[in-house]
Amino acid sequence: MKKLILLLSLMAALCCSFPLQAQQPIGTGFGVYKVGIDELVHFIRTEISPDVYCVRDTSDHKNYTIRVPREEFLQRAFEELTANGYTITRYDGKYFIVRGKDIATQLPLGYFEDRKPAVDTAFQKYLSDQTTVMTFQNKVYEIGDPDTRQKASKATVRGYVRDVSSGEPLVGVSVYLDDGKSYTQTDAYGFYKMTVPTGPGKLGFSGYSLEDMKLDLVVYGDGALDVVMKEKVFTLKGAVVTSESMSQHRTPKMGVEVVRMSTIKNVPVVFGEADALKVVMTLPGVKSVGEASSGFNVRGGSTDQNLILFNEGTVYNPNHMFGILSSFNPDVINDVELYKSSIPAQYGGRISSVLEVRSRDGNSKKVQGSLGLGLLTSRLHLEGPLVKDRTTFILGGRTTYSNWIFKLLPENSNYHGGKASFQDANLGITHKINERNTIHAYGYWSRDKFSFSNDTIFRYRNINGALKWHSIFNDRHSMTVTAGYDSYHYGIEDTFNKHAAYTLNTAVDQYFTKLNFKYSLNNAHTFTYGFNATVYDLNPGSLKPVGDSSLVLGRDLDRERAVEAALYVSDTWILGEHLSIEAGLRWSQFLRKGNHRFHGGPEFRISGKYSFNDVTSVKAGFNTMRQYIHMISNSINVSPTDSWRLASDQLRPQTGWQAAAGVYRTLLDNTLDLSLEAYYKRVKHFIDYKSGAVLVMNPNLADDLVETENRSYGVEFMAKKAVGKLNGWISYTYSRSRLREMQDRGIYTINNGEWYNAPYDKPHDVKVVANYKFTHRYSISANLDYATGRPVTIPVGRYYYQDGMRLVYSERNGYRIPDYFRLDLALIIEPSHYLKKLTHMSFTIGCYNVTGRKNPYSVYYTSEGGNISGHMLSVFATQIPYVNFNLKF
Amino acid sequence: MKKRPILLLFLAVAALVASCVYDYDPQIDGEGGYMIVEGNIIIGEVSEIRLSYSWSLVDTLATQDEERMKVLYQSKMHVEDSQGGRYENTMGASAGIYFGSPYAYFDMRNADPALEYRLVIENANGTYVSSWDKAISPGQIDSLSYVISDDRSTMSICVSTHTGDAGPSYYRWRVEETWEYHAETSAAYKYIYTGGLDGDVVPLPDSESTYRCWTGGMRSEIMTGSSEDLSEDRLVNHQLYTLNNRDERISVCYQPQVTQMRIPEEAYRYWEQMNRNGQDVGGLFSPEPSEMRGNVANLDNPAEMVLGYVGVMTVTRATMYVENSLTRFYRNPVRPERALDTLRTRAEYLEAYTLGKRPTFDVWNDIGTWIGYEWWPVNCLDCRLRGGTTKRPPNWPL
Repeated sequence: MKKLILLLSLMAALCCSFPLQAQQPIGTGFGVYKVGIDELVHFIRTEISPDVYCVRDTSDHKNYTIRVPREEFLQRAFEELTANGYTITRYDGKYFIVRGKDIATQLPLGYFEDRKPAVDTAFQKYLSDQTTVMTFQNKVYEIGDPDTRQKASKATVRGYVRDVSSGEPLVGVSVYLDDGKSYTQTDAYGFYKMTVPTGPGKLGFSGYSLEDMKLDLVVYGDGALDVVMKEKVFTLKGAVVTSESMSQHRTPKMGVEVVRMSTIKNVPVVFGEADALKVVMTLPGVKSVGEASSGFNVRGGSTDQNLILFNEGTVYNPNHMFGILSSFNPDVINDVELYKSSIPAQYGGRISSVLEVRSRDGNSKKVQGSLGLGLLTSRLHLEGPLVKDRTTFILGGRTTYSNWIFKLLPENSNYHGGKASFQDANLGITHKINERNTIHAYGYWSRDKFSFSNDTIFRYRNINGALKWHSIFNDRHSMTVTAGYDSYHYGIEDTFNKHAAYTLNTAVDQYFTKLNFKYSLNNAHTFTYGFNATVYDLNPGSLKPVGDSSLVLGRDLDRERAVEAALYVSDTWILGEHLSIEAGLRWSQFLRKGNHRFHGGPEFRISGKYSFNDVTSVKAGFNTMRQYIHMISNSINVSPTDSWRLASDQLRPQTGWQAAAGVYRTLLDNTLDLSLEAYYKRVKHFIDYKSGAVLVMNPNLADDLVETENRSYGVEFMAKKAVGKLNGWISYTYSRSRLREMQDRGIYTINNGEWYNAPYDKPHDVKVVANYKFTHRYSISANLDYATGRPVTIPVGRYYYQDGMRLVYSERNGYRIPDYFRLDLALIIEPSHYLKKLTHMSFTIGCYNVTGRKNPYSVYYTSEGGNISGHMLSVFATQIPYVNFNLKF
Repeated sequence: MKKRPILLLFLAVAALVASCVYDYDPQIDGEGGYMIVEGNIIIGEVSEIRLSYSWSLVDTLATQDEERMKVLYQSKMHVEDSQGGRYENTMGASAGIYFGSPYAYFDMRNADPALEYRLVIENANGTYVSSWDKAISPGQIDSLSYVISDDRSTMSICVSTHTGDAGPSYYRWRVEETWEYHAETSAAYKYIYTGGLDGDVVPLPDSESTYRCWTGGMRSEIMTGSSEDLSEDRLVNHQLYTLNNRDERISVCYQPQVTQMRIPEEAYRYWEQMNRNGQDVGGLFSPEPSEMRGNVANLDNPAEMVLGYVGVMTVTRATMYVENSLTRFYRNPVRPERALDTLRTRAEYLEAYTLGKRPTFDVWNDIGTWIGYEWWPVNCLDCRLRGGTTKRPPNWPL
C-alpha cells in the first residue's frame, strides 16, 4: 500500500524554522553528524543553496551523518536521502525533497489550477500545481499556503476520494471535521468540498465497508486534499463508524435510505438472484402486494407514484417476468438510494418516492470482470480502462435460460405453463476530460418475452440512454448537465383465434434534460438549483390485425404528447452547531398538446434537523408533490394490461403533501442507529376505476375512471447496525392507507363515498435483515418478513342467476387475506483472499421461505359449474433452495 | 464445470414444488338480502322472470328470512310497452305461493319488436322498474363449430355469426346441452326375481337396455362477445366455452343448442363483469372484482341495490352434434380390473342379485361349452344411475 502513497505537504517554512542544535562537525571535514532530516535540510540551505525545499515526513526518524568535501556534499546528501525513500525533484532551478517518488511524477500538472497571485515564489508555484494526496494517518497534512498574507478564518478544502486499488471514485463517503459541525458527503464522482476553520483540526473519512480514516490537518487557506481509501478487511477488533451511521445526525433530510450493492448481495432472495428492488422492499415504509411483484408501495402510495431513475433515466417497468426479478443487473450497480419523505427539490414528477439506482464506474486500472450462474439467469460483466486513468467502461449483460420455473407456479397464477425469456444489457463509459470535467455515457436495454400459452405472447422492453457532463467551475460551484431518452414499449399478440388475431401495443417515449447546479455560498449555505424538462410522447394503444384472415380492425388511439418543465432552488442552511434546515422550492408546469391549459404550480420541500449532540437528533419535514402521468390499472400487481396515460383536463394531475417527523439516536459506540419516524400524507386525484371499466383501447378512458383522494399515515421504527460481525436492521412499521372517491356519483359512488382500504394497506409490518460474518470467507444471512395480509374484495353473498351460482361483491377491499410470514436463509462463501490468484469464486447457498409457509397471495371465490368455492393462491408455497455461483476475474 | 451436478440437484429439488392453489375457507358469513331479478323480455316468445334474494355465503335456501321472502312472493309483475300496452303475468295471482321461486311468465309472442318495453315489479318494498329497451335483431348464426387444441387437451365450442348492420354488436349466448353417454358394459340378459327364493335369467329386449343414456342441462357460464374491435360485424369461431378431454359430455355424442341474443353495450358490460367476478379472480394479474349495478331500480328507494339486467331482445337458435367417433377427442378413463362372477345356478343368481349384480352375457369355455352368465355390478350396467334417461331425444343422429 505504502508504495502507492504519495504525500506532499507544504513545509518549506517549517523546515527552515528549526533551530540549529545538533550540527556538530566531527573532525575537520565539512558535513553533519547524526542529524535529522530537518537539520540536514537546514544545513544545506544555509551552507550550500537556499533553493532547497523539503517536505518533512514525521515518520522519518533516521539520522544522517555526511562528511565530504563541500562541493560533493549536495550530491552525497541527495544520495543518502534517495536511499532513504526520498525523491529529489529539480523544478525551476530549485530542489524539492519529497518522500514517495513515483506518485509525484504521476500527478498531472495543472491538477487544480488555483494559483494565488500574491504568491510568486517558485516553491509556492510548485506546490499549487500539486494536490496533496494522502494515505498516512499518522502525519500532519497542511492545506493551503502557510505564507499567505491574508489569513482568513475559514478555508475550503476539496478533493476526490478514490478506491486505493481500482481508482474508482467512492460515492457517499462521509467527510467530517471532528468538531462535529462540518459535515459533507462525497458526490457521485467521489468529490467533496467543505469549509473548515483555519488552524489545526482533524478530518474524518468514513464509508461503508471502507476503513475509517482520520487525518490531522493544519489549514492555512483553500486547498485540495485527495484521499485514497482501502476496502475494509473484516477483523475482529474494533467497531467502525460508517457514513450511514453518521449521516442521520448530519443531514436535515428525512427518510433517505441508501443500500449498497454489498448489502444487496448478502440478502437472500428467491432463486438467489441478487436483486436491488427486492432489498428496497425490506426497508421500513416500503411494501409490496405480494411475492412475484416488483411493484412497490412507499408510505401508502401506489406503484406508479415512484420515480425510478437508473443513471438519470426513468425506468417505467423495472421488472423482469412481471416481477419475479428486477431488471437491474447486480454486477454493475453501485448503490440504490430511496427518498421516501424528504424529496430533494431537484426531483419531481412522482408523488411518493424517488428511487435512484446508480451504476458503477469501470475500474480505471485494469480490465476485470465476473461471471455468474444462478437458477434463473447467467450474467457476465466486464470493466476496465479504455485509456488508462482517463476513460473507463463497464459492460454487463444477463440472460435467462429457464422456462422450468413456470411449471412450478400455481395453475391459477397466470404463470403456469408459461414461457419466459429476458435479456438486459448495460453500458457505462466515463471519460475524464480533465480534473474538472467528466463526461459519462450510459446505455440500458432490457427486453422480456412472455407467453401464458402458445398463442398469446407478451413483450416489453426498456431503452434508456443518457449523456452526462459534470463540471466543476471552482471550489464552490459545480454543474451537472444530463440529456437523454427513455423508452418503454409494451405489446400483446393474441393469435388464439386466427379470425380475431391481433397485436396491441402501447409505448412511453420521453426526452429529457436536466441542468443541476450546486453552489456553496459559505459554510452556512449550500444552494442547489437548476432546470428539468421532459417531453413525453405516449402511444396509449394501437391495435393491429395479425394474418390475412383476421377481421380485427386496426386502429390507433391518439398519441399523447406533452411537455413538463420545472425550475428549482434549494438551500441547505446550517444554523450553527445544532440546527440545520433544507428548504427547496420547485415550480413545475405541464402542458399537454391539445389542451390549452397549463397544469402545475409550486412544490415545497422543507426539512429541518436539530441535534442535541452527536448521537441524538430530531427532524421534521414537509413536502408537496405533483405528478403528471398516471398508470392505468385495475389489478393490484404490475400487470400486462397496465398502460401509462398523461394527465389531462379530465384526468387531472395528482397532487399530494406529506408531513413527517422523526427522532434519531445512535448507541453503542456509533454502531447502532435507532430511528423513529412518523408521517401523515394526503394525495388528490389518484386514479381508481369504475366497476366494469374498460381500460384497454378505450378512447374515452376518463369516463371509466374515478378520482380518489388518498390518506395515509404511519410510524416507522428501525434499528440498524451497519457494521460489525453482526450487521443488518430490524424495522417495525404501523401504517394505514385509505382511499375515498372525490366526486359524489350518487348510488354509483365507490363504497358510498366512504373511505376504503387501498389495496396495499398492510398495517403491521416487521422486517429483519441480518448478516453474521464468521470469518472473512463465511457468513450467513437471514431475512424475515411479517406483514398483515393485504385487503382484497371478497364476496359478501351469492345468488342463483341464469343456471349458475353468482357472487355478490360489496365494499371494495373490505377483507384481508391471512398474514404473511417468511424467513429466508443463505450461506455466503466469499472468494479466497489470495490477491495473486487470477480468479475468485464465490458461492451463495440458500433457501427461500425456510418454514415452507403457504403465504397467501390472494384469497378468492370462484363459481364454476354452478358451485361456489373458496381458494387461496400461494406463489411460493414451499421451501425454494438455491445455489448461486460467481466467478470474478 | 464440476459444480454442475450440484446445480442440477438443486433444480431437481426445486422442481418438487407443486401446485399452490389451495381450497380455502375465508370464514366470512357475509350478508344476504339483495333482490335479484332474473330473466329477459323476449319478443316473440313466452318470457320468464324470476325474483329471488341473494344469500349470505353460509345460508341455504332453508334459512332464508321468511318475512322477506313473503314480500318477494307477493310481488305483482307486468311488462309494459312504450305505447301503454300491458302484458300481465300469466302465472295468475302469484300471491299465496310460499314455496319455490316466484316466477312470472309473459306471453310476448305477439309483441311488436319495434316498441320499447320494460318490466315493472310492485311489492311492499316499492316499485321496481327496468330501463326502457328495444329489441335488437339477434343477427344470424352462421355456424357452430368445435376447435380442438394442439395438445388435444381441450375442445372449444365456437360460434360464428354476423349481422348486416354497421356494428359493433354485442352478444350474449345461452347454451342448453344434451349428450349421450354409455354404461360400462351392455347386457344381453336380465334377471327376473319372481319372489321367495326364486328368479331366473331371461334375454333382455332392446327397449329395456340401460346401456345408452341421454342427459343435459343449461351451461352455467355467462357467455358474451362483441365485434367492437373488428372491421366488420362478424364473429368467426368465437369461443363460447371449453370442455376437457375427460369430460363425459363428449364421450359419445354431444349437442349444444345455442340461443343467441344481441344486447346493448350496457348489458354486455354488466354480464361480462358478472362473468369475471366468478371466473377471472385471484390470479397475479386478475382485475379486482367489483359489483356493477344492473338496469332495475327501486323508484321508491333508488339507493337499494338490485342485481340483474332485464334485457329486451329477440333470439335466434342453432345446434350441432359432436360425435366422438369423428373427433376421437375423448380419453377413456382407465377402469379398474373387475373380478367378475360366472354363475350358472339359480341359487348363485339370487345371491349375486341381492349383492347388486346383474347378468350380462353367456360365457363359454375353451372347448365351446356354455359355463354360465357373466355377472357385473349394476352400476356398470345401468347408465340411468348416473342421472340420465334412456329416452332418446328426437333427431338424435346415432
